[in-house]
Amino acid sequence: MARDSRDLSAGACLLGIAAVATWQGSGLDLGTLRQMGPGMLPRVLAVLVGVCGGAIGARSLLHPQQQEPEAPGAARGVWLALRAPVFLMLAATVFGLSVRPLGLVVAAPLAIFVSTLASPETRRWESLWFALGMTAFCIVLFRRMLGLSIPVAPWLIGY
Amino acid sequence: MGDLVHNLRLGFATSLSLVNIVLCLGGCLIGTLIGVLPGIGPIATIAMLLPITFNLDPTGALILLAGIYYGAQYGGSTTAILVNIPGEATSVVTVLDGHPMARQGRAGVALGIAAIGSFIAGTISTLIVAALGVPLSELALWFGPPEYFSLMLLGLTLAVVLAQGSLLKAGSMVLLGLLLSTIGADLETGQDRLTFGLDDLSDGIDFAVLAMGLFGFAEVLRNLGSFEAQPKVQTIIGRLLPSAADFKRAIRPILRGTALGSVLGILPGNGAVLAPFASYALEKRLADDPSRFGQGAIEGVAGPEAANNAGAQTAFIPLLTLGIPPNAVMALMVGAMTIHGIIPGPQVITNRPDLFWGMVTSMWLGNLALLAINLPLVGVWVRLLRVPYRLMFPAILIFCCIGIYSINNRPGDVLLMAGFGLSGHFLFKLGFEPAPLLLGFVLGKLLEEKLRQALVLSRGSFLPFVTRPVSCGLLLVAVAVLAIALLPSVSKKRAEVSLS
Repeated sequence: MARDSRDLSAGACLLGIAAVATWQGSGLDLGTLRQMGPGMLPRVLAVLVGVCGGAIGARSLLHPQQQEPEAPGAARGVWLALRAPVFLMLAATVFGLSVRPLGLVVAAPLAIFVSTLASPETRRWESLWFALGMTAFCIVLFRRMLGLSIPVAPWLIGY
Repeated sequence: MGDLVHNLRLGFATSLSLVNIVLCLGGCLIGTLIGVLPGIGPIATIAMLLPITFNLDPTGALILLAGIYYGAQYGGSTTAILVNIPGEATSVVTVLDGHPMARQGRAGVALGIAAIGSFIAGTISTLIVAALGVPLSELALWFGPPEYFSLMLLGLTLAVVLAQGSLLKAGSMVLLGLLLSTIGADLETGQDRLTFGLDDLSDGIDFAVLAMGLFGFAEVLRNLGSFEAQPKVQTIIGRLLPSAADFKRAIRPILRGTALGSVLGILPGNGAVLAPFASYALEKRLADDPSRFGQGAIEGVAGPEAANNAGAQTAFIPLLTLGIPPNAVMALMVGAMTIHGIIPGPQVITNRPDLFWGMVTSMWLGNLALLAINLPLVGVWVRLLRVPYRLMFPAILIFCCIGIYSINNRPGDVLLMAGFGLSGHFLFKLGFEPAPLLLGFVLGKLLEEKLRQALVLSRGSFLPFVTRPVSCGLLLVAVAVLAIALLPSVSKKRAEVSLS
């Protein structure tokens, strides 16, 4: 991606964030300078973020000839570019949803196995064993040695 | 002077208890263990290891974290020298001459001089922290809200100027960080702000969640996108101790680097980042034969490493005396302190002298530990570096998940962390840097509080910010820094740095 299109999306991104923040903060009391209300700073900051976004976008339209080096890996295929984000997000979601009801015995190997799908270098059997081994290691380390209160297997042993 | 000795003795009485020695050594070891993994810098390391401090007393927890911090720093240098991958911005310089040394079979000497340089720098800068701690915290006591506000504004300006690439982009990241910090209950009215109606967000975003997302999760995403193949690790270490000739060459750069690092580290806004670059440039200019630089010159490793460590150490000064974290690592320290019920600031030194001095002395112990245990263990680090990334990243991910869940026992935090990681990844692709965002977020709450207090006191007038001399001075420095960065010659240089 050349700089102009990249900066154009960067500017649009910031404008979007500013719009969402303004919408979310619209019900808050602004107050006065003498006694600032809860909404004052969020509103001011949202406007400033929006201004920066506008400036970045406008600059990219005015100086399209400037080139910046590409971010590493930017020019790969769509699937390769999306593979890592998709599977890592999925892994974290699986962990977040299952850790409370099912405990680490289920959440950890599941999350590890799903996350290994993010890399093209993964070998299936290796990741299976690795997931089980890491889970045992984590339970010993975090629950037994460090005494954190993370659930291990509430449906089986009650904690 | 007598006070200093007395205070240091009090500190050593705390830090030399058996438990605290074990914590300090253990911290260094675990810190190096995680920090040596390519692509994991000190921020991710500390965020990941935060939960292991929960069951300790506050002093022990901070000593452990400080140990982890130094270990992670040194781990980054090890990766830089052996694999040619800088773990974070400050070890970029170490790569330049450290890796050529490794290719010449002198990896051991490079690692050795890095540890020795860091130790010397650590010793001197620990004394500086000890000497400046009391006077600065007294100074801080008559800092009013306007002074605090202006100081933080200066810190944020520096963070923008020191970031790589476009000033406008770095500035917008600081603003975005500030905006994120306003999420949650309002300081005065307790009203929910920008929470999208989610209960989990009404306490605000936990700093560790944001830091782990931006520096742990996003880093994994970035590495998965860019590691083409397994990086080549230099496995021939050679002798560890530098020869007398090596040492003679390195000692002056070490001392100069220490001086540079100590001064830059005190600046708010992560001035320590500059230290290794400044030291490298200085040594190259002073050298008889500058062409040796980049070919494995030992001065090019010794100076920047010393500067890096000195800066890492004196960065504790603004945190411990003013309660203002100068960079993201220190912000994590604030997080750890608040979990244990300590609010960092000038009052810590008077209310909890054992904690303050115990931490200062354990900084020195941490440096000693690096020299005594990390260097002999170099073989272990090399083996760790050869663990394939396809196994490393799932482990990193699961540690992040467990760590984040354990902070508040909230599954939603894990999803939030992943969300920030993903957004951080896309922001990075769009040419934004995460570091200024994090600093903005860190300072946001305090900045708002001080601004509102100042305006209540002045009945809505901005005049006190420029009529009170200290506040005015700080603001003038901020304006000057920004003006210098905007000069055509300087901004051209910044562009060159970000290209290389």
